[in-house]
Amino acid sequence: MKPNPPTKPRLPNEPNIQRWQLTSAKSIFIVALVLFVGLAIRLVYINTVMSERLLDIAESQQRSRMTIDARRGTILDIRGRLLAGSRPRYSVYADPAIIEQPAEVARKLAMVLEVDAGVIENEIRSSSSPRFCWLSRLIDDAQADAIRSMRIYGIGLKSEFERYWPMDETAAHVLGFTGSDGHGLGGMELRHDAHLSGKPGYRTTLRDARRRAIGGEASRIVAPQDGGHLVLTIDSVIQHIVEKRLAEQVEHFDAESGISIVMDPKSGEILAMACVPTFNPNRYKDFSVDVRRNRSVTDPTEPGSVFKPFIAAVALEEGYVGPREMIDCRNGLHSFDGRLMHDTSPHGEMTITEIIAYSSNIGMGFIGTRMGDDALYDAVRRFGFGTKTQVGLAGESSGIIYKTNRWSSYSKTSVPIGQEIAVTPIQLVTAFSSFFNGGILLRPRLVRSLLRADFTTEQAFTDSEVICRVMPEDIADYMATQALPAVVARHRPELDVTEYPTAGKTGTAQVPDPVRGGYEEGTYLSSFIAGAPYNDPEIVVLVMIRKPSEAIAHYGYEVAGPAVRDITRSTLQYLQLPPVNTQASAMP
Amino acid sequence: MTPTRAGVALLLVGIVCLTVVALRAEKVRVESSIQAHTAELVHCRRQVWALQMEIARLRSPEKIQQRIERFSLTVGADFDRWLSPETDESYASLED
Repeated sequence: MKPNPPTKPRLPNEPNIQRWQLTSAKSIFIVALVLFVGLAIRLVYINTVMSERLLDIAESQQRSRMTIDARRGTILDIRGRLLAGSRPRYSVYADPAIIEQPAEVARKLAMVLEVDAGVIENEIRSSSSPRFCWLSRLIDDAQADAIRSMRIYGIGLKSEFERYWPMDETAAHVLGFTGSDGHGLGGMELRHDAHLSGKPGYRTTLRDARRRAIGGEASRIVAPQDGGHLVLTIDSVIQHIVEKRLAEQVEHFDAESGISIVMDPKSGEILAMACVPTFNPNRYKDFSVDVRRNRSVTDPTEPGSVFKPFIAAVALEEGYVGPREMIDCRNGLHSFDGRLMHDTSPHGEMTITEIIAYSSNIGMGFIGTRMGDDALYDAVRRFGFGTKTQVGLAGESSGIIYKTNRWSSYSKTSVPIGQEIAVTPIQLVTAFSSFFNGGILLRPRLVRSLLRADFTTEQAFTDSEVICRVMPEDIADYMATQALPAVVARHRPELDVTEYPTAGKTGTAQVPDPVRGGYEEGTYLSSFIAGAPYNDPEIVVLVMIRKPSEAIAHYGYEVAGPAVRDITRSTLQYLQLPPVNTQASAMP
Repeated sequence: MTPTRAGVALLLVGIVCLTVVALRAEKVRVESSIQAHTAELVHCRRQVWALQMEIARLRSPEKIQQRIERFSLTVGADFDRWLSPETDESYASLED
């Protein structure tokens, strides 16, 4: 018999641990270990992989971030007068989540904001965002003070900027306007939006569970960078002179609209650019898109007789006609290949100067016939017609200049008198200025300089930008001192400015009928463009009046002429140009 | 450590503590003052900007002409010389 193995002697207090108990203890230990290891892994995972996302969530829950708007830069005229700026205003907002009694809050605010309490309550209750809704934008300071003193929990004031054009309608088409978000929607406000806008800053604030701000170092502010400023070439006084006179003329002749541009022919700087009817940028929504359009650059139109000097200059330069050559103008009636042309007054033989002075269609028809299609087309394009001037305004048109393969047999007599082509007023005044600066086509400019927020110069545009030479200097001088002064001196002396002898060209174009083709019956575009004083011109002035009442008058010298004369006189007096000695500058 | 030394040590600790408290109180006061002045500066700047706009409105040629007409002022033959370039201020006046 196998003896029993000796048993381990038991101590008196030793627990009697069974096998199953040991197994359980081990199991629990292993489970606990696994759990702890799992937790440790999870902890590492949370602190490494998930940390960034969780910190962002915590940040958004604990901190509130409020944008601080940058102040949009100002727009100044050439002499530093403020044309557009931003004024500070407050806007009222609500945090619907923490407003316990919307009706009571709305009742209190309604008294200050002068709006129906129901509207405010509805805004709070039906806010699309649970934590934010605007109640009233851009209130005045007195209202803001009243709301601040009420200390309503859940109601806040945010400082914003309101764009303001202090001169109202003055230069509205040049300045443009901004939308409710403060960004430019037209004119210079749109063209230079990036420069004017600046960069917004923000303020983050630590908040408790009830979204109450916790002060101290927990607030963090990143200051906004204010926008840069813009200095235009526009002179607001000249602009006012032009707008006032143009509006008078449009009203007097019961016309549809009017356009005027004043340009410095030596620099290409535009001193004034006006359209009538005009609009107030402070209330731009009250005006139609059609009224807000800057027709000086967007609307090409048949120029009529104001176009004759361009063809005449090229004809002179290229020898198609001599300065003293006599051209028979057939006493005001002639048929070119079956097209009957007539002049407003009958004339026989005339020089090129007289053809321009008396605005002979027949004389220009003969010159066009001599030149032929290709030379005419080159002449038109040479002056920049058919190409955008790049003046820096949105929606600029390049005009309508068909290639010669689309010209008819009439074109060589139509184009020299400003028909079958369409040009914009800015193209016209730019090209006309070349007569007064020695034959150079300059790029028209509306911006003098870009300034930083602290008014130091960032970029200055003081030098003229030459596009090309369009005619020799002697031809330009001939046109400026002989041909164009003759229009005023010999034919329309009533348009002369006594103190500042004027050289220009009138035009009376028929208005094309876009529906039926041809021309509208009894509707005209009356124009006059002139430079003064012609021996050393300071300004070129264009006035175009569209559809004046035929019952009153419709010729360019009657409708647009007096406006150009008055604008020229007022502008040169304002610029303090001494009266020119008319004896010395009289035509030979 | 003798009672005297312990008293001196306690006194020094007390002085240091009071100094720290005083400095912190002063810091809070200064910060509050800075905050108040900053708020005042912001308020003044807002007023300056608002006044600049109002001045610009009043200097508008159209408004000047309206005032001339309202007050029946005689401007004579030199009417177009009003607001001549020499009398205008430069944009430097708009700097804050």
